[in-house]
Amino acid sequence: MSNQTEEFLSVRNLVTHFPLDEGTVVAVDGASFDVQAGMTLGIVGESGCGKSVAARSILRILDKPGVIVDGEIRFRRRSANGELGEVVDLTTYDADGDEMRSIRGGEIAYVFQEPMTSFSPVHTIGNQLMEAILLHRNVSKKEAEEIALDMLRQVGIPLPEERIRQYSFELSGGLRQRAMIAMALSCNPSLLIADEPTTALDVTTQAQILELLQNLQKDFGMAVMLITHDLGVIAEMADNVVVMYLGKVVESAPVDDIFHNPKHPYTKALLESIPRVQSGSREKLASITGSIPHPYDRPTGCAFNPRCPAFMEGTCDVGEPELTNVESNHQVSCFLFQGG
Amino acid sequence: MAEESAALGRALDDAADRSSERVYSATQWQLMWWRLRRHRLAMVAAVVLIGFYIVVLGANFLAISDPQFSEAFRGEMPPQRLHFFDGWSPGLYVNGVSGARDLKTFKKIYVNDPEVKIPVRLFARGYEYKFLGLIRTDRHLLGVSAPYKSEETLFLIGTDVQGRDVWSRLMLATRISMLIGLVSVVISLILGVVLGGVSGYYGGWPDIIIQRVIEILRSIPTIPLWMGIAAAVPREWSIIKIYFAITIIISLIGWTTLAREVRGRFLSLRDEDFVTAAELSGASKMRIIFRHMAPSFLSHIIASTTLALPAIIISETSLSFLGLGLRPPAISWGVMLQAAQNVQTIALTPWLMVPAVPVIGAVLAFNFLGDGLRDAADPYG
Amino acid sequence: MVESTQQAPKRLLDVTDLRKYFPIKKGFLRKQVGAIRAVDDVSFFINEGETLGLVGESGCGKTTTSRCILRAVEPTSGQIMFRSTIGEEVDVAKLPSSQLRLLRREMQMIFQDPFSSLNPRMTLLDIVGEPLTNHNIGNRSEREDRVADALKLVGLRPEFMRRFPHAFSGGQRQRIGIARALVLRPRLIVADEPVSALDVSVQAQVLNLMLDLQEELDLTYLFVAHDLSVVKHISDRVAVMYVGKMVEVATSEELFAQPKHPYTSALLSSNPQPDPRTRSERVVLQGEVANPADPPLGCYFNPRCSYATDVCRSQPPQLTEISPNHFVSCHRAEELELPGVAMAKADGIG
Repeated sequence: MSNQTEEFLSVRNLVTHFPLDEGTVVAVDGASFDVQAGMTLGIVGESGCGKSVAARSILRILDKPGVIVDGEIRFRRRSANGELGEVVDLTTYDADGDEMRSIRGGEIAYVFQEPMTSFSPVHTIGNQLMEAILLHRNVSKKEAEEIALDMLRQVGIPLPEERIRQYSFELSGGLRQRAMIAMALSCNPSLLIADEPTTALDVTTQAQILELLQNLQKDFGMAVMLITHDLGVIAEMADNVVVMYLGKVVESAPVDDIFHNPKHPYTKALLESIPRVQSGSREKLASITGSIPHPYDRPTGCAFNPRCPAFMEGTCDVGEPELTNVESNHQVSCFLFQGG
Repeated sequence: MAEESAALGRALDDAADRSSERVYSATQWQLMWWRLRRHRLAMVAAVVLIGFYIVVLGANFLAISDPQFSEAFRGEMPPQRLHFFDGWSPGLYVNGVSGARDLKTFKKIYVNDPEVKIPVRLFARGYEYKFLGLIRTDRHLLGVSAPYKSEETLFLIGTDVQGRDVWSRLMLATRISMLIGLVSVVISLILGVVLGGVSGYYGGWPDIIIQRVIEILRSIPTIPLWMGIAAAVPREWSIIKIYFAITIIISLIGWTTLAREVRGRFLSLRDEDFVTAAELSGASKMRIIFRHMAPSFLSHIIASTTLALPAIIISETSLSFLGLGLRPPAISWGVMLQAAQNVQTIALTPWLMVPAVPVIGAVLAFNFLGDGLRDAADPYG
Repeated sequence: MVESTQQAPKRLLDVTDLRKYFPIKKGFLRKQVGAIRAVDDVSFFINEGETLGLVGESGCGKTTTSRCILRAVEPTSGQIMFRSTIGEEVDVAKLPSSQLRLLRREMQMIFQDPFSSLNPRMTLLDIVGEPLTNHNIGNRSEREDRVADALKLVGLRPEFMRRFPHAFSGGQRQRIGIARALVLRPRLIVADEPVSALDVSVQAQVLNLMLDLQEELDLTYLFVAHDLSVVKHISDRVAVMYVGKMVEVATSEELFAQPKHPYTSALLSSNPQPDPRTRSERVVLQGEVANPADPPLGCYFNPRCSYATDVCRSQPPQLTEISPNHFVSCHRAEELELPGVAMAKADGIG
């Protein structure tokens, strides 16, 4: 059994740039967060916050011309006997090299938002599942097929023997997402990164998939990094939460603290601005003024300062705050909590 | 509430306004131009094409001797070297050439006489022509002055079998070959956009019929078709008439590609929200097609058209090369290349193959420019 | 709505037995082999000045319904009675196209995708001014003024008129779309998922804007959405659709607190709550959404319904009013006690 306080995945000061013709987009600007073995980390933020880019940086699957400019991604690999082994820095590996390819799918799996475009339309589901299995495990084709069928059963796809021969477009959205999860888990990864896995699904299907993910996490004993903009999903699934804004981590805490004891003005404003079913009808929402800055027009100082209700002139527009501990396990990146 | 957010919006926008106003107010065409400018190959190609069309406009001006003036005596003369310096002082001249026939092989031999220096003048007088069809003049870019005559002494790319100056013929051939492309493309464009648009916007039976017609036309093998039509064209027609007939024939097949593209764009645009919004705001069908949908695919059409031109140039060149298109006394690249159909030419008078160079050049230039246009065509993604 | 001394609210829109079937054609001769019943006998009404939220999952027909009302899509059959400004009621479904064009001045649409709902090649002036141009209202400078007014109403600076949509963010574009819908001062606005494609913080701004505009301009909204929390904030009454059928219509409070249809209850329960302390209360619906081209016998929802009985599997239910202004389409509506969503506690969250 893994010791939960042992390092499992630690991202430290990750900086990822996209040098484009029009200028360099700083997608991730010094983000740091931890994932603990067997637990779920929820990364939440709006568009442009860098959560997807951070996740892709971990697996080194950035779209060109993305490049990791600085930082460390420390990951504890699985040793030959299946136990947790040594910690390596994934930024030091070649993105296309053997090491990364063995980690991808084998130890860290990724589930995408749009299952339709994540499957090849010209190969059957079975084919793609078996490809993943054969790449990482030393088994025969027949055995791979057995494993694939078993996985499809585990994710709750009825009649897997039929489905395994079908193409992705023959499956509904929910079934496709389940098939993608099956593919991701077929090699028993220690970490599953799910990037907006239910955003494209209906709410009832979403509930099914989230329940499935929770059960699978228990069964497989794996860690989950769940990326989403939906605070409801975070509240459902996460043990710990990281809130990102414009490439930086602004707050990091256990899930209950984030929802019931938020410290960062952005987190607070975000929670106040989401519509809730418990509200009165036609109740106005507290909204955050302004809009998310364009990536080429980053504000000087704290990225949130132009919109912050707690803006302090001379401080917030000058320097950038650091992520500091305010309570045990609760970190905030805000001048309200710095400087003694 | 709207006021508050406007006030704060003001503060935020001022920050962003700096030099972005230019970009924010840039029309589709401006954005497209900015993107095209960065595509170096396309820019080079554009310059090359401008060069070609300058030749089109000033074909006669750039020519030296009357292209039809033949003197068998001077047949198959190799290109003359244009000297820029006479010893140390600048001066344009060519050497005199005397010819004789080798009695053993009966081949013509031309010998350069370095003592004879015939000065070459800029803006010299030569044969008469109408510049741009309007102004009667006899000035040419290069020529020799009395007592020498251009048509007897200046042959930059040599002469053909009949003693005609290849350079001058090349200038006029460029005009005809590049123009045929344009006229064809305009006809194809009109047919393609109209029929493709009807097909895509209305759907149903018009669409089915038009698509089947397109498929039938595209399945006809081109060369036999051309041969048939060339045989059907009356021999007594003037060159101009034949020229236009060829143009129209080529464009009657060429519209099919564009029609398909236009249809595809219409089909996808029909379902766009902004088209629905236009309908709901009371726009008539005509307005929707021309004001709302057309600008969206205009950029693609420009790119497609630019890429269609080389195909037409090659069609005409091939047809004429095979003797099915333009025929002498008309001059086009294909007609000139007809003379280069045999091994004898390649071995003995290789300069007669020079017309292949502008063909390749024009086709490549159109392709590069078309690629650049296509890449720049959708600045909005 | 309880009887009071005021007169009963007038219905601005009254839809009866609306149907939209999309034929499925196969074969070389394109013979019709079946139909997708996108909207299948849908009836509802909207009172003047109120907001009716229309919810459901993908394939339920809410978008098609909204487009049928404006006749952006031609309904297969049914009646769409609209009370025009002159006071008379017209059946939108049967209007000839010339009159339809005039009626379009009174009903407009706001679209879901801020990126495809604005023509990228037209300036804001052109886009927002399009309805004015098409209906020949005013001369050029008058139109500019009206466009400036519309832009100010939605919180955008009129100086932006000369810019193109690519200069604006998603939230701003949505505002432009709203400005376009408002410029003719319509009475009914059909909003098709207007905030679904926006970031959370921007959603709140746009929703607040819509609430403000409704008061200022006396608008009536048909608000189509899949997100129940959003619908709660903006609607007076809510209608729930499933696979082309209307399954429940009630006031916001009643629907959320005391749903009468099992699907509504399941929908409410599946909605992830932004509060980790409410985790244990989920009811997860099994199975897949029914296929609108081949729906089940009887009640369309029966394969997934934990309360289904034999009558549910054989007889399709009818939409009936089981209590004042509360309509349900379920055989067992009277007897079921279904879990809903309670109102916020006093201490609030966050």
